[in-house]
Amino acid sequence: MQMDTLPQTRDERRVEQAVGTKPPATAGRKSVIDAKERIAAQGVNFFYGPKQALYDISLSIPEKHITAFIGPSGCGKTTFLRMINRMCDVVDSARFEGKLMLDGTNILDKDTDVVSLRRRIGMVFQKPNPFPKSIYDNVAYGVRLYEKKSKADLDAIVEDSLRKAAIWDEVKDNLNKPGTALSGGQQQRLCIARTIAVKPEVILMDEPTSALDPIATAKIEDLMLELVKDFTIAIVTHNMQQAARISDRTAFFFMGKLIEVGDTDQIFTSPRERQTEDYITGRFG
Amino acid sequence: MADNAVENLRAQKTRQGLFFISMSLGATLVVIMMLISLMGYMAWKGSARLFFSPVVEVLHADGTTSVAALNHNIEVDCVEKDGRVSPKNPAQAAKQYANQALENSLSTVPIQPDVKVEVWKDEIVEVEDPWETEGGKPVKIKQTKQVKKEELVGAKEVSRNAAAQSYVLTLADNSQRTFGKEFSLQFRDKSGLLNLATLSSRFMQANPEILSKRKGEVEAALSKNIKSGFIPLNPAWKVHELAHVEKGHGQNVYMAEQRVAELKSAVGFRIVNQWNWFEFFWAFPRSSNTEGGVLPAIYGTVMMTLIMTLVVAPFGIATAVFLREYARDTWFTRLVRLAIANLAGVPSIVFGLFGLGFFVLIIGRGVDNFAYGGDKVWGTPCVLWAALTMALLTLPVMIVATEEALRTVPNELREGALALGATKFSSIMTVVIPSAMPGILTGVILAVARAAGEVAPLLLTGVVAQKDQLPTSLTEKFMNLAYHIYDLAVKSPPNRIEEAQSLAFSAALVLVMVVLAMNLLAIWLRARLTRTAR
Repeated sequence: MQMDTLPQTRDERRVEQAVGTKPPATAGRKSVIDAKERIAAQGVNFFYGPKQALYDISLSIPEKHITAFIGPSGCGKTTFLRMINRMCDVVDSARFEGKLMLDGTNILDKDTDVVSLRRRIGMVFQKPNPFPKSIYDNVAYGVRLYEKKSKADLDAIVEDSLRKAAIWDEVKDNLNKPGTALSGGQQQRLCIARTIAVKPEVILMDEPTSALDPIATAKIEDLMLELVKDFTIAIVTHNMQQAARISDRTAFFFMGKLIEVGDTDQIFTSPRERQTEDYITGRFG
Repeated sequence: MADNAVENLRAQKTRQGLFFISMSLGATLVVIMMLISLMGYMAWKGSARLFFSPVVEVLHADGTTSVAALNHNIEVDCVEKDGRVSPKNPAQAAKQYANQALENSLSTVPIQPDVKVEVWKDEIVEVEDPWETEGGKPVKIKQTKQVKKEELVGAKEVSRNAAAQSYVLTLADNSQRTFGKEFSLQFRDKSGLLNLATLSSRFMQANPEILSKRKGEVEAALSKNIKSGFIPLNPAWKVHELAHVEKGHGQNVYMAEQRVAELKSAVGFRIVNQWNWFEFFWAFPRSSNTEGGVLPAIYGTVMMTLIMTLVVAPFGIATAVFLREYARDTWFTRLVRLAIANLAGVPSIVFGLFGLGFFVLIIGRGVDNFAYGGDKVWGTPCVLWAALTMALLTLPVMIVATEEALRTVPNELREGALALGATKFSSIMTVVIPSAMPGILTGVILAVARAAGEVAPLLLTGVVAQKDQLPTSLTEKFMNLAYHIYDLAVKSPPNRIEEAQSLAFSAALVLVMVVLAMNLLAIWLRARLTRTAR
C-alpha cells in the first residue's frame, strides 16, 4: 500500500504526527500557493518610535487556509499580525509604510476606515478577553454595534456563532451567565464565537492557545480546522508543533525580518534557510 | 553557652520582626478600639434620647391620646403594668412634675385628681382668640375685645401689660381648645384657684346648645381617663407661668407658650417610657431645635447630596475618561493631575468661600440682574449653590477613584472591543465604563459620604439652623444634619442645654448611621457588580 501516493487530509496528518508514526507528509499534496491570495504584503516596514520592528515584509495569506507566523519572541510576528487589522494604531508611536493589500485596497493607507476594516478582519487574542457581560451579550456585541436586528435574528446569529465555535452545547442553558464565569478554554471559544458573529473574512489569532491547557488547546485547534472551511485564518504561535499540526502555510520571522515563507510541510521538512532549520530544530529561540 | 542561646533567640526574634508585628497589632487594636468607642458613645448618648427617654402620653378631651416629649428629667417612681409604665402614686407624681415643671418653665401642671367639671354659661362673653399661634410661635396679637373689668376676677394680676394679658388668655384658651371656641368649659378645684379659670372661661365664645350636648361627653371622658391612671392637667398652674412672665423672663414666656401649643386640648397625661424614634425621624424641630425631630435636616442633607451627585458623577467620570483614555501624557495632563491632587487638599471652607463668591454672587446675581430685573432669586445662598460647591469639593475624589477604576480595566477588553469594529468611543461606553462600574460607584459613594459629613462650605452657601418647611425648590435654604449637630451642641438656649445635647448625640448617631449605610451600600454594590463583571 502506497500511502505517499494518496492525497492526505489534514486530519490524517495530525493523527500520524500525534502518534509519531510518520513525519509530516509532503508528497502528493497540492501546494497551497495555488490558492487564491487574500491578503498580500509588499515591502511592509513598521516602527515603534525610532525603533524599527519590521523590515520589508512581503508575503501573502491564502484564502481559506491557515497561515502560521512563527519565530522567537520579539521577532515582529505579532506586530505584523496586528497590522493586518490596524490594531497597531492603538500604540501612539506606531508608524508604518508599505502595502498590505486586501481586495485591491491598501490596508495601510492613511484614510482606511479602520472600524469597518476590523469588521472584515476579526481578531482573537492571546488572553481570553470576554467582556464582563452575559455570554449572549458577548456574542451579540459586535452585531449590535452596527446592525439593529430583531430578537429572533440576533438569537439565530448567537446560536449559529456559538455552534460554529463548538461551545453551544456547553453554554446553551446558561446564555445569561457572565462570559467571565467560563473556563479559560471556553472563554477563548466564546471569543472566537464573538469574532465570527460579525462574519469577518479573515480571522487573526494571536497565540490563541498559549494561556490554555493541552485539552483546551486541542479543542481550539479542532475548531480552527473546522473554521478554515469558511474563513481565512492567520495565527501567531510559539508552539511549532501547533504550527505543523494545523497550518497550511508557515512564515518564519526573525529579528523583524521575514526569513522564509512556504508550505508548512516544506518549512518543517526541508527549510531553505539555515536560520529556519536552526529554529525549528530547537537550536535557538 | 547560655548567653549564646539568648543571643540567638534575640537575633531570631529580630529577624522575624516580632517587635514590628506586635506594634502593628497594637496599632490595629487602637484603631478598632477607637471605632468601637466612637460608635458606642454615639449609640449610648444618642439612643438615650432617641429611644428610651421618658415621655408623657397626653390625653385629649375627645378621649384620644398622643405622645409628647415633656421634660425628660422628671424622675417619678413608676410601676409597670400591662406593658405600660405609670406613676406609682399619681398624685405625688403630679406634684413632683409640677415642681419640676415650674423650675423648667413648663406650663402644664396637674393637681390632685378630684377635679370637678363645671360649665359657666352665664359668664361667657364674645372675644376673639387673642394670640394666634402657629407651630408654637406667636404670630400676631389681635386686639382683645373689651370685657367688663369687674367681671375679670383676678385680672389685676395679669393685665399690667398687653403681652402678659394676651399670654394668659392664650394659655387658658389653649389648655381647653377643644372645649373652647364653641363653648367654654372649665376645671375648677376646691382650693380657690377659680379666678383664672373663671377668667379664661369669660373669653370663650360659646353656643349653649352645643355646650350642653357636649358637657356629658366631656365629663364621661374625664372621669374615665382619670380612672385609667391619667393625671389631669390643671390650667391653674399657669398662674405660676404668669408670674414668670411678669417678672419679664422673656425666654420663659416663649418656652412655656410653645409647650402649651404642643399640648393643645390636653386634659391629662401620664408618664410612659416610649420609643420616640418615629418623632425624631419624622418631626420638625421645635423650641430652638431642642424639641421634635430632625426630618428637615435629613431631608436637606439628602437633597443637597443628591443634587451634588447628579453634578459630580458625570463631570468626574467624563474628566477621568478623558485623562485616562484620550489624553496623552503631556505637560498639560500632568498639570491637570497636579491640580486635581491639590484641590483634594484645599480646606473645605475655601470651597465655601469660592461658592459664595462665584456661584452666589457672580452667577446668581448675574442671573438675577439679567432675568429677574435685580430681584434676588438666585443671588442668595441656596441649596443649588451649596450642592454645586460640594460637587466641586468632591470632584477630586470622584476623578481619582474613576481613573483608578479605569486603570484596572484590562487593555485586552479595550482591544477586544476595537477588534470587533467598535470605535474608541463606543468601546469606552459599552465595555470600559461598564467594567469599571464597581470602582466608579465606589468613587460616587466616597464623594457622597464626604458631602454628607461636610459642613464648612455649606455655612457660606445656604445652610440654616432652623426651617419649618421642607425645601421644595432649588433656591431655598436648607437644613443639614452635620450643621444641625453643631447648632444643637453649642447654640441652644441655656435652659435647654441638656435636652439639646442629647438631641445632638442622637443626630450624630443618625449621621454616622447614614454614612455607615452608604458605605455598606457601596460594598454591596461593588460585590454585586464584581460578581457579574469579573
